[in-house]
Amino acid sequence: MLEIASGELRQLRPRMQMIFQDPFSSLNPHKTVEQIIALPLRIRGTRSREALDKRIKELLQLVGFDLSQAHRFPHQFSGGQRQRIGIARTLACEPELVIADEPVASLDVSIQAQILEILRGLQQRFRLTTVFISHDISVVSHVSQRIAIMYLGKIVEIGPAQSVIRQPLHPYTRALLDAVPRIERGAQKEAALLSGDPPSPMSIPPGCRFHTRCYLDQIPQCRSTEPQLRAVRPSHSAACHLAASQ
Amino acid sequence: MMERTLLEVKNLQTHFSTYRGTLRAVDGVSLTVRRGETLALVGESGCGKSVTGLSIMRLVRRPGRIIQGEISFDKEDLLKKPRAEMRQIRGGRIAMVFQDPLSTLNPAFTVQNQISESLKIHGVASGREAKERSIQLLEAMGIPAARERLRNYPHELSGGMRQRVMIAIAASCEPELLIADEPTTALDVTLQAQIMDLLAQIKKERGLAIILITHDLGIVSQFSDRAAVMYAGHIVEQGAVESLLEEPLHPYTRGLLQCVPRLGRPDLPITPIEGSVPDMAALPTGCRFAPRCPHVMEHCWQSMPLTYEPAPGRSVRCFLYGEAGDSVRGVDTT
Ligand SMILES: Nc1ncnc2c1ncn2[C@@H]1O[C@H](COP(=O)(O)OP(=O)(O)OP(=O)(O)O)[C@@H](O)[C@H]1O
Ligand code: SF4
Ligand SMILES: [Mg+2]
Repeated sequence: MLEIASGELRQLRPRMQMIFQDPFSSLNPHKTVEQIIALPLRIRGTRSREALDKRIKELLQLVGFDLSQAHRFPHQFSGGQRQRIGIARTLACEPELVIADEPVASLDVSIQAQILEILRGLQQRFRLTTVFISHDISVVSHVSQRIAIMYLGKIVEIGPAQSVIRQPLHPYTRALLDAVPRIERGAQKEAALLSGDPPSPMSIPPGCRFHTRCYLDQIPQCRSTEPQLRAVRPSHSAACHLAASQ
Repeated sequence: MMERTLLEVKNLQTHFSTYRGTLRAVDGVSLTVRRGETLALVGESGCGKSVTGLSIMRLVRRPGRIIQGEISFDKEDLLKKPRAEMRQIRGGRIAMVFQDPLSTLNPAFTVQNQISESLKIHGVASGREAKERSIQLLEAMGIPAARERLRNYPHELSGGMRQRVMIAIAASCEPELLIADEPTTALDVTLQAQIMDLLAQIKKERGLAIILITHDLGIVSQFSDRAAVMYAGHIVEQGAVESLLEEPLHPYTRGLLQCVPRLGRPDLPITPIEGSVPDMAALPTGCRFAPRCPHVMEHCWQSMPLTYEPAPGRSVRCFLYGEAGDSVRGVDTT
């Protein structure tokens, strides 16, 4: 699943930064947190010790750290803390676009909540444009304004977050939503269960790539013609031959 | 019938000796599972869920060791069983399914070999009969073209299919208790739904009791009857699922529920739990949740709360529900 939150761009220079699933492998183990964050600041022209310290302190505070932790090494932190260091480094680059690839996938829920709140706060504060990639549609729906649903390498539905969640257009989206086990006991819908496994990306089915698992009453085009993304509601589109008739 | 106790674990302690000292992975866990019910064991990474499951199976390997406790299964203490008898119970009356089927299935043997082996060890069937039984089992697990699948090696199967084969092997000897350790964590949600439905169906048809280890509160809610919440080697709360999720008592359970984003409820804010899980080799004295607890009181830092029973069938390990003085007795046993 792919989520796009658009906001106004603060910086004019196009810059893009990634936040990864595994923060550990993307942090230099031989550098302290301070050095890790200082590097992009230096590259971007902050030179004086004073200015650097001030900026590092600001950035660490944004992700819930204090300066006393700045001289420690990545291995001395937990997974969630490392993810926060990664976010602070990303912000040091002053990106216009952040691509966060499964940033909370390997974290416990209590830590996941900490990171999600930090990301959400930053989005609101700096109007940061974020592409938030996740397989967890509950998480996605919490941090995003727009949602794109992917199936076998293609976007099959895209639209405003609440519209996609409440009134999904594509049968795959509906199955995904139904499959999420809800905490509220009454909330579980009779699931539109998908049978079988997703086909291998090496042999994508002809026509609609979802037709081998689709539970709708298919029409001949489903097996012969690839459906294109079409707006069914204002700014809410789906790639399904039957989308309009639902 | 439904209410009969099948498994009763009392004050189980499983510790690991590490170079940093003793790691109290499971530290005084007590729980009960009745026949035909699903007990969810829920908690965050490292809190001791898997070690609890492995202890019940007596599969804890060094440097881990069961220090003390009682695991009574159908009224007999498993910790007192000779090894040979335990081997028969394991995979026979108690079976286990793991998160990652690929690391549990033997890559060098076909599906047929692995199911037959299990049937043979437990004296259920052999030879041609075993083959027919295997086909029936795979069909019951919703595996299409079961006869052909028997010739496959594990790596030739998809993730969802492998997990079905694992469940087929686990179900092959008609166990009374199934310990399912994060059976769907490695799968996407649509496959997860299929596997969970399969487990629910087997449970219903065969009157199986299940210990369902998970960190997903949605799975707890939809697929279990009772739940036990673990934190840092302790069970901090136990009770029927509806009441536990609707009226959580322990501050940790409440915190967990507030962390989870709810689908279609953007109005519900998520509130993180401050701090992080303690280092299991350097646990705080007193309540293990104290450093993160919004209700922490003076004596929470000094002594360990006992497990109190604020209502029948409901237990909670927190001073908000019992006398601080009570804990004096509790400290030396836990
Ligand atoms: N073989 C081992 N040697 C040393 N420590 C171990 C070993 N196995 C488990 N532990 C420790 O015991 C504690 C409990 O581990 P356990 O695997 O039961 O956690 P869990 O609740 O299943 O977590 P997860 O959700 O990540 O699977 C952890 O702190 C873990 O590091
Ligand atoms: S015993 Fe005290 S610190 Fe522990 S959970 Fe209860 S109130 Fe919080
Ligand atoms: Mg585990």
